[in-house]
Amino acid sequence: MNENLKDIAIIERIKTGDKSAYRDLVHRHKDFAFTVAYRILNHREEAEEAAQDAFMQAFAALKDFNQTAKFTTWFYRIVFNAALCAKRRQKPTETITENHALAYSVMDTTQNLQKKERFAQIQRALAQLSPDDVTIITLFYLKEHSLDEIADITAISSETIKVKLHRARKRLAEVLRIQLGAEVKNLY
Amino acid sequence: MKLLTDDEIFDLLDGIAPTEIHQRHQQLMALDENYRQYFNELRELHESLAVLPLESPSLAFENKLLTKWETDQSSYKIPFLLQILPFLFVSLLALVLVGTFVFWRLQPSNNSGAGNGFEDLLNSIDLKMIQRLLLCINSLLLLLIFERILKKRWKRQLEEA
Repeated sequence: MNENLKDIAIIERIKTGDKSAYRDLVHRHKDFAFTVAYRILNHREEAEEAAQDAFMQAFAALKDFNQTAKFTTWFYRIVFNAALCAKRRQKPTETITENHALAYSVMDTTQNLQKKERFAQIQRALAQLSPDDVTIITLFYLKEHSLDEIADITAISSETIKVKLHRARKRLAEVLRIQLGAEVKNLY
Repeated sequence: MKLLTDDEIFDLLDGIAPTEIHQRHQQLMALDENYRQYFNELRELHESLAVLPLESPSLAFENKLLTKWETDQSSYKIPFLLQILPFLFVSLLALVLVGTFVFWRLQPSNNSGAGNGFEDLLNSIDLKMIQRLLLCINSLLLLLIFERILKKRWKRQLEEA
């Protein structure tokens, strides 16, 4: 079954009073909602709170959800706005520098370790981008959203999204280059 | 040969570049070492972003959220009562005042004047009954306020757990 149809079926169950359907909906979208919030806020607890707020808002507004629309587009817009609100509440003095620690395991091969290190570098670089840019990159890559869908979620025109996506990736490459340069310097 | 712009390189990586850009890219890859290095850097980033894993919230996330939602849902009816109770109280008070005023005005002013009519009215009111009624309303209000405070604390404890 198409992913959107699965979401619509769950929403129908919620509307008929099936309480277990709420859990199904959360289960399907919690990771993505959390990832978007986490990439914007760079703080696990705050990201969980923002994702929770987003789910609560979505639950409360489910009766008004237009079922001809795509659920994820509607829901991710709520997540994006909830994370932005939380970002505004973050004190500018309290710069979040959460350490993206790697979960190393004895079973890790060299290739795995390299991959993990690369992911951590990208996470650190993403933390330096603006919320808009991070969201655009996250939506574009993680769920392969089209530019039009990203435009709907972020309320930015699709032409601007395309320009912003290119610029964000370029900026990300620059940040990574600087990071790698610093790491190489630290080695000597 | 004219180098590709960043936008053109990203179009290539996203698979939406026209054939002309593909051809220029092939030539540059074969001839220009700097371009090859720069393109590979962006390609690596593009590929890494595509496989970057999703983050997962804590294990308690689902239960915490659903408990919060259920608590929110169950506490919806109480604020409604709390909201109308003051209006009910003020409306009753206004009704009593208007009633008293009308009753006082309608009293026949034969020999002892309007003041006597009002005194008669005061004498006719059963003060004990009014006291009991006010006591009931106040107790009800107090109970509702207590319930609200306790529910708030309970909710906070649930969120912290």
